[in-house]
Amino acid sequence: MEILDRYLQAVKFWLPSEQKQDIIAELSEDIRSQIEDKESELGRTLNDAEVETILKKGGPPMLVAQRYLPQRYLIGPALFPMYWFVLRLGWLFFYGPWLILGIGASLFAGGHFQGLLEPFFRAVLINFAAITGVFALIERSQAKTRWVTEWSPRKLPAVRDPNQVSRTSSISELAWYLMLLLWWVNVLRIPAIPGVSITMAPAVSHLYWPILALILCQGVIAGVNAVRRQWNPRRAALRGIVDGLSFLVVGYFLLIWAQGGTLVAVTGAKLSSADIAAAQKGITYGWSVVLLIWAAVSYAARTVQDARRAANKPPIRNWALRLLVGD
Amino acid sequence: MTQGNANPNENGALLENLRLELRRGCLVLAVLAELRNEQYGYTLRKGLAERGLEVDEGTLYPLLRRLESQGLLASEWREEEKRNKRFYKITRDGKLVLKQLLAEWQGIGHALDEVLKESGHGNS
Repeated sequence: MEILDRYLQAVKFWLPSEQKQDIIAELSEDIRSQIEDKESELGRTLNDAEVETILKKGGPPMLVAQRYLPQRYLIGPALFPMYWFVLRLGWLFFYGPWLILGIGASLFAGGHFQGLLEPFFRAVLINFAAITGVFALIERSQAKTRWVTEWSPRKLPAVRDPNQVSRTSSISELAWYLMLLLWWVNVLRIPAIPGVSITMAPAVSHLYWPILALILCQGVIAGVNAVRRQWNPRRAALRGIVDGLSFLVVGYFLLIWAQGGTLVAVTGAKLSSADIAAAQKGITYGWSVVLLIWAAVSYAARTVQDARRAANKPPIRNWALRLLVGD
Repeated sequence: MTQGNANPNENGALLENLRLELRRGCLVLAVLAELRNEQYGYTLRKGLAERGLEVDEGTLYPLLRRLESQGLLASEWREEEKRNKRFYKITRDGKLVLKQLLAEWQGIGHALDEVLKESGHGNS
Protein backbone atom coordinates (compact mmCIF):
# COMPACT_ATOMS: atom_id res chain seq x y z
CA MET A 1 0.00 0.00 0.00
CA GLU A 2 2.36 2.61 -1.29
CA ILE A 3 0.06 5.56 -0.80
CA LEU A 4 -0.24 4.85 2.95
CA ASP A 5 3.53 4.51 3.31
CA ARG A 6 4.02 7.78 1.50
CA TYR A 7 1.58 9.46 3.86
CA LEU A 8 3.26 8.02 6.95
CA GLN A 9 6.69 9.03 5.68
CA ALA A 10 5.47 12.59 5.16
CA VAL A 11 4.02 12.76 8.68
CA LYS A 12 7.20 11.23 10.13
CA PHE A 13 9.36 13.95 8.60
CA TRP A 14 7.79 16.63 10.83
CA LEU A 15 7.78 14.65 14.08
CA PRO A 16 10.39 15.01 16.86
CA SER A 17 13.05 12.33 16.35
CA GLU A 18 12.63 10.66 19.76
CA GLN A 19 8.91 10.03 19.14
CA LYS A 20 8.91 9.31 15.40
CA GLN A 21 8.73 5.51 15.55
CA ASP A 22 6.20 5.37 18.35
CA ILE A 23 3.78 7.86 16.83
CA ILE A 24 4.05 6.39 13.34
CA ALA A 25 3.45 2.84 14.64
CA GLU A 26 0.28 3.96 16.41
CA LEU A 27 -0.98 6.11 13.54
CA SER A 28 -0.26 3.36 11.05
CA GLU A 29 -2.17 0.85 13.20
CA ASP A 30 -5.18 3.16 13.35
CA ILE A 31 -5.26 3.80 9.61
CA ARG A 32 -4.79 0.09 8.81
CA SER A 33 -7.69 -0.72 11.15
CA GLN A 34 -9.85 1.84 9.33
CA ILE A 35 -8.92 0.30 5.99
CA GLU A 36 -9.67 -3.23 7.26
CA ASP A 37 -13.04 -2.15 8.60
CA LYS A 38 -13.94 -0.57 5.30
CA GLU A 39 -12.74 -3.64 3.39
CA SER A 40 -14.83 -6.01 5.48
CA GLU A 41 -17.83 -3.69 5.00
CA LEU A 42 -17.38 -3.70 1.19
CA GLY A 43 -16.16 -7.30 0.95
CA ARG A 44 -13.16 -6.39 -1.21
CA THR A 45 -9.76 -4.69 -1.13
CA LEU A 46 -9.80 -0.89 -1.23
CA ASN A 47 -8.36 0.85 -4.25
CA ASP A 48 -5.94 3.80 -4.04
CA ALA A 49 -8.70 6.39 -4.38
CA GLU A 50 -10.61 4.91 -1.42
CA VAL A 51 -7.44 4.79 0.71
CA GLU A 52 -6.80 8.39 -0.30
CA THR A 53 -10.25 9.37 0.99
CA ILE A 54 -9.43 7.85 4.38
CA LEU A 55 -6.06 9.62 4.50
CA LYS A 56 -7.54 12.95 3.44
CA LYS A 57 -9.99 12.73 6.35
CA GLY A 58 -6.99 12.65 8.71
CA GLY A 59 -5.62 15.93 7.35
CA PRO A 60 -2.38 17.08 5.65
CA PRO A 61 0.78 15.37 7.01
CA MET A 62 2.35 18.53 8.43
CA LEU A 63 -0.86 19.46 10.26
CA VAL A 64 -1.21 15.93 11.67
CA ALA A 65 2.41 16.00 12.90
CA GLN A 66 2.00 19.48 14.33
CA ARG A 67 -0.76 18.27 16.65
CA TYR A 68 1.76 16.04 18.42
CA LEU A 69 4.06 18.96 19.12
CA PRO A 70 3.71 21.45 21.98
CA GLN A 71 2.19 24.77 20.96
CA ARG A 72 5.02 27.03 19.87
CA TYR A 73 5.25 30.68 19.00
CA LEU A 74 7.91 33.28 18.70
CA ILE A 75 5.91 35.94 20.55
CA GLY A 76 2.97 34.72 22.59
CA PRO A 77 -0.45 36.32 23.11
CA ALA A 78 0.60 37.98 26.39
CA LEU A 79 3.38 39.99 24.76
CA PHE A 80 2.01 40.37 21.25
CA PRO A 81 -0.05 43.57 21.84
CA MET A 82 3.04 45.33 23.23
CA TYR A 83 5.18 44.04 20.36
CA TRP A 84 2.64 45.35 17.83
CA PHE A 85 2.47 48.68 19.66
CA VAL A 86 6.26 49.13 19.51
CA LEU A 87 6.30 48.28 15.80
CA ARG A 88 3.57 50.83 15.16
CA LEU A 89 5.47 53.47 17.17
CA GLY A 90 8.45 52.95 14.85
CA TRP A 91 6.23 53.65 11.87
CA LEU A 92 4.53 56.62 13.43
CA PHE A 93 7.63 58.49 14.55
CA PHE A 94 10.36 57.20 12.29
CA TYR A 95 9.49 55.29 9.14
CA GLY A 96 6.27 57.14 8.40
CA PRO A 97 7.99 60.58 8.35
CA TRP A 98 10.89 59.05 6.41
CA LEU A 99 8.54 57.68 3.79
CA ILE A 100 6.65 60.99 3.56
CA LEU A 101 10.02 62.70 3.14
CA GLY A 102 10.96 60.31 0.33
CA ILE A 103 7.66 60.79 -1.48
CA GLY A 104 7.88 64.55 -0.96
CA ALA A 105 11.43 64.57 -2.28
CA SER A 106 10.52 62.62 -5.38
CA LEU A 107 7.50 64.82 -6.06
CA PHE A 108 8.99 68.26 -5.45
CA ALA A 109 12.77 68.07 -5.39
CA GLY A 110 13.18 65.25 -7.90
CA GLY A 111 15.45 62.24 -7.89
CA HIS A 112 15.95 61.70 -4.15
CA PHE A 113 13.53 58.83 -3.75
CA GLN A 114 15.64 56.19 -5.50
CA GLY A 115 18.56 56.78 -3.18
CA LEU A 116 16.29 56.79 -0.18
CA LEU A 117 14.57 53.51 -0.97
CA GLU A 118 17.44 51.13 -0.27
CA PRO A 119 18.46 52.51 3.15
CA PHE A 120 14.76 52.77 3.99
CA PHE A 121 14.06 49.10 3.38
CA ARG A 122 17.31 48.09 5.07
CA ALA A 123 16.41 50.15 8.15
CA VAL A 124 12.83 48.76 8.20
CA LEU A 125 14.15 45.19 8.03
CA ILE A 126 16.79 45.73 10.71
CA ASN A 127 14.28 47.46 12.95
CA PHE A 128 11.71 44.68 12.46
CA ALA A 129 14.29 41.95 13.09
CA ALA A 130 15.72 43.69 16.17
CA ILE A 131 12.33 44.36 17.78
CA THR A 132 11.13 40.82 16.99
CA GLY A 133 14.37 39.39 18.39
CA VAL A 134 14.13 41.39 21.62
CA PHE A 135 10.49 40.37 22.16
CA ALA A 136 11.29 36.72 21.35
CA LEU A 137 13.99 36.86 24.05
CA ILE A 138 11.59 38.43 26.55
CA GLU A 139 9.04 35.71 25.68
CA ARG A 140 11.58 33.09 26.72
CA SER A 141 12.95 34.92 29.75
CA GLN A 142 11.86 35.13 33.37
CA ALA A 143 10.98 38.80 32.85
CA LYS A 144 7.80 37.85 31.01
CA THR A 145 6.73 35.42 33.76
CA ARG A 146 7.25 38.14 36.35
CA TRP A 147 5.41 40.70 34.26
CA VAL A 148 2.43 38.34 33.78
CA THR A 149 2.18 37.15 37.39
CA GLU A 150 3.36 40.08 39.48
CA TRP A 151 1.10 42.83 38.26
CA SER A 152 -1.25 44.83 40.42
CA PRO A 153 -4.26 46.98 39.50
CA ARG A 154 -2.81 49.61 41.84
CA LYS A 155 0.24 50.01 39.62
CA LEU A 156 -1.82 50.71 36.49
CA PRO A 157 -1.88 54.33 35.20
CA ALA A 158 -4.52 56.64 36.66
CA VAL A 159 -7.68 57.17 34.60
CA ARG A 160 -6.97 59.96 32.15
CA ASP A 161 -8.89 63.19 32.19
CA PRO A 162 -8.81 64.44 28.57
CA ASN A 163 -9.03 68.02 29.80
CA GLN A 164 -6.09 67.74 32.14
CA VAL A 165 -2.61 68.42 30.82
CA SER A 166 0.04 65.86 31.65
CA ARG A 167 2.61 67.55 33.92
CA THR A 168 5.45 65.39 32.56
CA SER A 169 4.51 66.41 29.06
CA SER A 170 4.37 70.12 29.98
CA ILE A 171 7.70 70.04 31.81
CA SER A 172 9.47 68.23 28.96
CA GLU A 173 7.90 70.68 26.51
CA LEU A 174 9.11 73.59 28.64
CA ALA A 175 12.63 72.13 28.72
CA TRP A 176 12.56 71.63 24.95
CA TYR A 177 11.46 75.20 24.22
CA LEU A 178 14.03 76.55 26.69
CA MET A 179 16.77 74.69 24.82
CA LEU A 180 15.38 75.82 21.49
CA LEU A 181 15.29 79.41 22.74
CA LEU A 182 18.90 79.28 23.95
CA TRP A 183 19.95 77.81 20.62
CA TRP A 184 17.93 80.34 18.64
CA VAL A 185 19.44 83.34 20.47
CA ASN A 186 22.89 81.77 20.01
CA VAL A 187 23.61 81.10 23.69
CA LEU A 188 23.68 77.33 23.22
CA ARG A 189 26.05 76.50 20.40
CA ILE A 190 26.43 73.28 18.51
CA PRO A 191 30.14 72.24 18.45
CA ALA A 192 31.66 73.94 15.44
CA ILE A 193 33.69 72.31 12.68
CA PRO A 194 37.06 74.15 12.47
CA GLY A 195 37.15 76.49 9.50
CA VAL A 196 33.46 76.02 8.69
CA SER A 197 30.65 78.35 9.63
CA ILE A 198 27.01 77.27 9.53
CA THR A 199 24.44 80.04 9.78
CA MET A 200 20.79 80.49 8.95
CA ALA A 201 19.97 80.96 5.28
CA PRO A 202 18.44 84.41 4.48
CA ALA A 203 15.05 82.74 3.92
CA VAL A 204 15.12 81.64 7.57
CA SER A 205 16.87 84.59 9.20
CA HIS A 206 14.27 87.13 8.05
CA LEU A 207 11.80 85.21 10.25
CA TYR A 208 14.10 85.54 13.28
CA TRP A 209 11.79 87.68 15.43
CA PRO A 210 8.49 85.93 14.60
CA ILE A 211 10.12 82.56 15.39
CA LEU A 212 11.57 83.91 18.62
CA ALA A 213 8.10 85.16 19.59
CA LEU A 214 6.56 81.77 18.81
CA ILE A 215 9.19 79.90 20.84
CA LEU A 216 8.56 82.25 23.77
CA CYS A 217 4.77 81.80 23.50
CA GLN A 218 5.07 78.01 23.32
CA GLY A 219 7.40 78.04 26.35
CA VAL A 220 5.10 80.29 28.37
CA ILE A 221 2.03 78.15 27.56
CA ALA A 222 3.95 74.97 28.52
CA GLY A 223 4.99 76.66 31.79
CA VAL A 224 1.43 77.71 32.59
CA ASN A 225 0.16 74.21 31.70
CA ALA A 226 2.66 72.66 34.11
CA VAL A 227 1.13 74.68 36.97
CA ARG A 228 -2.54 75.03 35.94
CA ARG A 229 -3.25 71.61 34.55
CA GLN A 230 -6.92 71.96 33.62
CA TRP A 231 -7.56 73.16 30.08
CA ASN A 232 -9.92 76.07 29.62
CA PRO A 233 -11.28 77.21 26.25
CA ARG A 234 -9.32 80.48 26.29
CA ARG A 235 -5.93 78.83 26.90
CA ALA A 236 -6.75 76.11 24.35
CA ALA A 237 -7.65 78.77 21.79
CA LEU A 238 -4.41 80.66 22.51
CA ARG A 239 -2.29 77.52 22.08
CA GLY A 240 -4.29 76.64 18.98
CA ILE A 241 -3.36 80.00 17.43
CA VAL A 242 0.32 79.66 18.39
CA ASP A 243 0.35 76.06 17.06
CA GLY A 244 -1.34 77.15 13.85
CA LEU A 245 1.32 79.86 13.32
CA SER A 246 4.11 77.39 14.20
CA PHE A 247 2.66 75.04 11.62
CA LEU A 248 2.79 77.78 8.99
CA VAL A 249 6.45 78.53 9.79
CA VAL A 250 7.45 74.87 9.66
CA GLY A 251 5.41 74.43 6.47
CA TYR A 252 7.27 77.40 4.97
CA PHE A 253 10.62 75.74 5.77
CA LEU A 254 9.44 72.54 4.13
CA LEU A 255 8.38 74.47 1.06
CA ILE A 256 11.86 76.01 0.81
CA TRP A 257 13.37 72.54 0.96
CA ALA A 258 10.86 71.08 -1.50
CA GLN A 259 11.70 73.81 -4.01
CA GLY A 260 15.37 72.90 -3.79
CA GLY A 261 16.34 75.75 -1.46
CA THR A 262 18.43 75.48 1.68
CA LEU A 263 17.74 76.34 5.31
CA VAL A 264 21.36 76.94 6.21
CA ALA A 265 24.26 78.86 4.74
CA VAL A 266 27.65 77.11 4.92
CA THR A 267 30.85 79.10 4.53
CA GLY A 268 34.47 78.02 4.80
CA ALA A 269 37.70 79.35 3.34
CA LYS A 270 38.93 75.91 2.31
CA LEU A 271 35.60 74.69 0.91
CA SER A 272 34.85 74.66 -2.79
CA SER A 273 31.47 75.89 -3.97
CA ALA A 274 30.53 72.26 -4.73
CA ASP A 275 31.41 71.25 -1.13
CA ILE A 276 29.34 74.13 0.22
CA ALA A 277 26.35 73.25 -1.94
CA ALA A 278 26.60 69.59 -0.92
CA ALA A 279 26.89 70.48 2.78
CA GLN A 280 23.93 72.90 2.62
CA LYS A 281 21.83 70.33 0.80
CA GLY A 282 22.90 67.54 3.14
CA ILE A 283 22.03 69.49 6.31
CA THR A 284 18.71 70.64 4.88
CA TYR A 285 17.83 67.23 3.51
CA GLY A 286 19.05 65.30 6.55
CA TRP A 287 17.17 64.55 9.70
CA SER A 288 16.27 68.19 10.17
CA VAL A 289 13.68 67.74 7.41
CA VAL A 290 12.30 64.59 9.03
CA LEU A 291 12.04 66.55 12.27
CA LEU A 292 10.34 69.41 10.44
CA ILE A 293 7.78 67.04 8.92
CA TRP A 294 7.18 65.52 12.31
CA ALA A 295 6.81 69.03 13.82
CA ALA A 296 4.40 70.07 11.06
CA VAL A 297 2.21 67.01 11.61
CA SER A 298 2.40 67.47 15.37
CA TYR A 299 1.46 71.18 15.22
CA ALA A 300 -1.37 70.47 12.79
CA ALA A 301 -2.73 67.72 15.05
CA ARG A 302 -2.39 69.92 18.14
CA THR A 303 -4.24 72.73 16.39
CA VAL A 304 -7.16 70.34 15.78
CA GLN A 305 -7.15 69.17 19.41
CA ASP A 306 -6.88 72.75 20.71
CA ALA A 307 -9.67 73.93 18.42
CA ARG A 308 -11.94 71.21 19.82
CA ARG A 309 -11.08 72.19 23.40
CA ALA A 310 -11.63 75.85 22.59
CA ALA A 311 -15.09 74.94 21.27
CA ASN A 312 -15.82 73.02 24.49
CA LYS A 313 -15.69 69.69 22.66
CA PRO A 314 -13.66 66.73 23.95
CA PRO A 315 -10.34 66.15 22.17
CA ILE A 316 -10.05 63.19 19.78
CA ARG A 317 -9.11 60.07 21.76
CA ASN A 318 -6.63 58.16 19.71
CA TRP A 319 -3.40 56.78 21.16
CA ALA A 320 -1.30 57.64 18.10
CA LEU A 321 -2.65 61.18 17.94
CA ARG A 322 -2.12 61.66 21.66
CA LEU A 323 1.48 60.46 21.41
CA LEU A 324 2.08 62.69 18.42
CA VAL A 325 0.87 65.81 20.18
CA GLY A 326 2.39 64.82 23.55
CA ASP A 327 -1.02 65.05 25.19
CA MET B 1 -24.34 48.46 18.22
CA THR B 2 -22.75 46.04 15.77
CA GLN B 3 -24.63 44.16 13.10
CA GLY B 4 -24.55 40.34 12.91
CA ASN B 5 -22.59 38.69 10.12
CA ALA B 6 -24.99 37.56 7.43
CA ASN B 7 -22.48 35.65 5.27
CA PRO B 8 -23.61 31.99 5.46
CA ASN B 9 -20.13 30.64 4.64
CA GLU B 10 -18.54 32.67 7.41
CA ASN B 11 -21.33 31.72 9.77
CA GLY B 12 -20.78 28.05 8.91
CA ALA B 13 -17.05 28.33 9.65
CA LEU B 14 -17.77 30.24 12.82
CA LEU B 15 -20.26 27.61 13.98
CA GLU B 16 -17.78 24.85 13.23
CA ASN B 17 -15.07 26.61 15.27
CA LEU B 18 -17.42 27.14 18.19
CA ARG B 19 -18.59 23.52 17.99
CA LEU B 20 -14.99 22.29 18.08
CA GLU B 21 -14.23 24.55 21.02
CA LEU B 22 -17.26 23.21 22.89
CA ARG B 23 -16.33 19.60 22.20
CA ARG B 24 -12.64 19.99 23.07
CA GLY B 25 -13.27 20.24 26.80
CA CYS B 26 -15.78 17.37 26.78
CA LEU B 27 -13.37 15.12 24.92
CA VAL B 28 -10.91 14.80 27.82
CA LEU B 29 -13.80 13.78 30.06
CA ALA B 30 -15.11 11.23 27.56
CA VAL B 31 -11.66 9.73 26.95
CA LEU B 32 -10.88 9.39 30.65
CA ALA B 33 -14.31 7.82 31.28
CA GLU B 34 -13.96 5.39 28.36
CA LEU B 35 -10.51 4.31 29.46
CA ARG B 36 -11.74 3.02 32.79
CA ASN B 37 -11.64 -0.15 30.66
CA GLU B 38 -8.38 -0.76 28.84
CA GLN B 39 -8.58 -0.15 25.09
CA TYR B 40 -6.34 0.71 22.19
CA GLY B 41 -6.72 3.88 20.14
CA TYR B 42 -8.84 2.64 17.29
CA THR B 43 -11.46 0.84 19.44
CA LEU B 44 -11.61 3.90 21.68
CA ARG B 45 -12.25 6.08 18.65
CA LYS B 46 -14.94 3.72 17.34
CA GLY B 47 -16.56 3.52 20.76
CA LEU B 48 -16.74 7.30 21.02
CA ALA B 49 -18.10 7.61 17.48
CA GLU B 50 -20.84 5.04 18.20
CA ARG B 51 -21.90 7.19 21.14
CA GLY B 52 -22.06 10.24 18.90
CA LEU B 53 -18.68 11.76 19.73
CA GLU B 54 -16.70 11.48 16.53
CA VAL B 55 -13.04 12.34 16.85
CA ASP B 56 -10.34 12.07 14.19
CA GLU B 57 -7.03 10.33 14.79
CA GLY B 58 -5.10 13.60 14.52
CA THR B 59 -6.96 14.86 17.60
CA LEU B 60 -7.27 11.69 19.65
CA TYR B 61 -3.69 10.37 19.61
CA PRO B 62 -2.00 13.65 20.56
CA LEU B 63 -4.58 13.96 23.35
CA LEU B 64 -3.85 10.43 24.60
CA ARG B 65 -0.14 11.24 24.64
CA ARG B 66 -0.72 14.47 26.53
CA LEU B 67 -2.89 12.74 29.14
CA GLU B 68 -0.25 10.03 29.50
CA SER B 69 2.53 12.59 29.95
CA GLN B 70 0.37 14.23 32.64
CA GLY B 71 0.16 10.88 34.47
CA LEU B 72 -3.59 10.45 33.93
CA LEU B 73 -3.23 7.51 31.54
CA ALA B 74 -0.80 4.61 31.25
CA SER B 75 -0.07 2.69 28.05
CA GLU B 76 1.69 -0.41 26.85
CA TRP B 77 2.38 -1.99 23.48
CA ARG B 78 0.95 -5.54 23.14
CA GLU B 79 0.31 -7.91 20.30
CA GLU B 80 -3.30 -8.62 19.45
CA GLU B 81 -4.58 -10.39 16.35
CA LYS B 82 -0.98 -10.58 15.11
CA ARG B 83 -0.59 -6.80 15.23
CA ASN B 84 1.18 -4.55 17.71
CA LYS B 85 -1.26 -2.21 19.39
CA ARG B 86 -0.89 0.38 22.11
CA PHE B 87 -3.36 -0.14 24.94
CA TYR B 88 -4.36 2.70 27.23
CA LYS B 89 -5.86 2.62 30.71
CA ILE B 90 -6.70 5.29 33.23
CA THR B 91 -4.31 5.59 36.21
CA ARG B 92 -5.20 6.17 39.86
CA ASP B 93 -4.47 9.90 39.44
CA GLY B 94 -6.59 9.83 36.29
CA LYS B 95 -9.54 8.37 38.21
CA LEU B 96 -9.23 11.09 40.83
CA VAL B 97 -9.13 13.81 38.19
CA LEU B 98 -12.04 12.20 36.33
CA LYS B 99 -14.14 12.29 39.52
CA GLN B 100 -13.39 15.99 40.00
CA LEU B 101 -14.01 16.78 36.35
CA LEU B 102 -17.36 14.96 36.44
CA ALA B 103 -18.42 17.06 39.42
CA GLU B 104 -17.36 20.18 37.51
CA TRP B 105 -19.19 18.99 34.41
CA GLN B 106 -22.40 18.43 36.36
CA GLY B 107 -22.04 21.87 37.94
CA ILE B 108 -21.65 23.47 34.53
CA GLY B 109 -24.63 21.47 33.23
CA HIS B 110 -26.87 22.67 36.09
CA ALA B 111 -25.72 26.26 35.70
CA LEU B 112 -26.27 26.18 31.95
CA ASP B 113 -29.74 24.65 32.43
CA GLU B 114 -30.64 27.53 34.74
CA VAL B 115 -29.30 30.14 32.31
CA LEU B 116 -31.15 28.57 29.38
CA LYS B 117 -34.37 28.26 31.38
CA GLU B 118 -34.21 31.96 32.33
CA SER B 119 -33.59 33.00 28.74
CA GLY B 120 -36.41 30.80 27.45
CA HIS B 121 -34.16 28.31 25.64
CA GLY B 122 -34.59 25.44 28.14
CA ASN B 123 -35.80 21.97 27.16
CA SER B 124 -38.80 22.05 29.47
